[in-house]
Amino acid sequence: MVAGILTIALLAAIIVSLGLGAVSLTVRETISALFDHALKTAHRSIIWDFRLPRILLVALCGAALAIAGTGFQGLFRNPLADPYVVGASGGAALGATLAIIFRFTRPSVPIGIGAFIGSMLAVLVVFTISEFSNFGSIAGLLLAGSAMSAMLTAINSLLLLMNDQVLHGVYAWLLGSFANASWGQLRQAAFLAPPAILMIWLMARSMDALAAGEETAQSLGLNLRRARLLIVIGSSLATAAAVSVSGTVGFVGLIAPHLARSLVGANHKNVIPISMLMGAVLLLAADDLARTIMAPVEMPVGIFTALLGGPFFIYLMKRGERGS
Amino acid sequence: MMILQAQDLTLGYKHKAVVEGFNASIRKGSVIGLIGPNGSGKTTLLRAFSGLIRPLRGKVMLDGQPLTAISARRRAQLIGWVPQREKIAWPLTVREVVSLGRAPYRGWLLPLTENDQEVIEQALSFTDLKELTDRSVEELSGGEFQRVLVARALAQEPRVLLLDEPSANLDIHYQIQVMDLVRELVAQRGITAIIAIHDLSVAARYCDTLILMHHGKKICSGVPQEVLTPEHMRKVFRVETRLYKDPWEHLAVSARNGLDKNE
Repeated sequence: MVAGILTIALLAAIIVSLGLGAVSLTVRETISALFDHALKTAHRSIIWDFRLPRILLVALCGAALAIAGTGFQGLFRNPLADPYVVGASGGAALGATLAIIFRFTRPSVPIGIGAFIGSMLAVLVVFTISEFSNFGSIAGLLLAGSAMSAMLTAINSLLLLMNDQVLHGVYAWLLGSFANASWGQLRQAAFLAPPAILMIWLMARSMDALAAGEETAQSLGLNLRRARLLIVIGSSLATAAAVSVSGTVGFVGLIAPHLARSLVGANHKNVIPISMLMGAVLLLAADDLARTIMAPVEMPVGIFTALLGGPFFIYLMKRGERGS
Repeated sequence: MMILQAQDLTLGYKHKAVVEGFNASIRKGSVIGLIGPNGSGKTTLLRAFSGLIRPLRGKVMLDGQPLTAISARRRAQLIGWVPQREKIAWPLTVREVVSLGRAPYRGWLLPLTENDQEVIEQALSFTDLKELTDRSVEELSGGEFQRVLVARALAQEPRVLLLDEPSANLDIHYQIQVMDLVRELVAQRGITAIIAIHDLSVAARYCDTLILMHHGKKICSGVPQEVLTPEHMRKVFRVETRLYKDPWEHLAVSARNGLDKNE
């Protein structure tokens, strides 16, 4: 039921988003440009060459960020976890930058792999620190995550300054933007995202068990190490899929799982597909704003997700305070 | 018939022994109470029995097999663990939490079968949770939540049930309810329950056998009358006690600090 409504909402968002831009198209025009081969070429070209790859990329990245957020929240048992907060985005951005420095090409598969490795290493370090911190799990995660993110961002900035001619244009990408979206980028993200989604989906029941804590999960026969590692890999892969094409877009991974839980309950089997749909719709809306609000100048989409997500984050912290 | 045996069990963390040289043989179909002051090693023992921690020395035998030789999944089919407290991170429903008890049989991927659903229903009705099945566990009272934890362990269809202070955080009504439930389970299903208990009167009333722990060592074990003697209690808890039958003929312990001057 919820899934059906959200799917329709996503399709509607895609159609509307396709129509937005310098040349604005009505819904009817958009649909005929999509499906009518005999149409005059201008509309078809706008849709097929420019907008469709971007819109699909935005939707896919939104879903990937939501999956990553769901995975990280399940792993850390923490509603404040998301790819940005746990350092995965920062790690992925650094990994991608390094891959670009060494390869000088983008988009390409090595960038995605660089992002994946960077993301995974960052998460493993943050997870280890937060496990052994004296601040309790939630504060420990936030401290370790923000320290890690700050460090990674600094290293990344340093690399950019030292390689400014090679990395021309990378800085804008780091702020989170789909301005350079292309079919090539979509292929790159589509190469990383599906295995990530599959992995997290397969971990659904394990994450339900993890919700009850390590000891209980183990007493139910869960192989804790293996489950955690698989969740880290899946979530990092999903983060890499998004970051390697759009830079660091915060808060989608935080908000989507929450909205999903409030709609369909906390069972991960339900949370996963719903949060993916949510993430796709959210990011599409944010990207539409980024493209149109100051047209023809395009804003980084990360600004809008942060504007939306920051207050949400604070709201969650307040609620957490009350609960504990 | 012995279901669980501990042989020269030494437990601890980083070579600091919390329990030392513990031996016990636990008979099938009985209720065993672990008693002793805080830090005497009760919870650590339960963890070892559940396979959550590995002994530094010695071993735990389950039905004649070393516990460490049994796979985690098989172990979860044989042993149900009810922790003292648990925080469930997300608002899962009662039924969803209890369903996790079937994971040892169905694994982490396969959908639950009709038989699984039946076992879950039984566990829910046995623990009197039928009315609450679709409620979020975050909305439950302490007693209701404790019953959810017991129901989840029941859904595992275990041969041994390990409970860590199941009634410690509960109002008296639910204390009695949970302990009655355990007794009923042992009587009806022939399982064995090992319970860490704080309250000596609860231990005296509900357990067939008590094991008295002090500073990580077993002081003695046996039927409540043999274990809860004034001498033992003075030595371990530094209190003066009397063991008596209350007006309902339940065994109970009364205690006070300081020496008995009148006698």
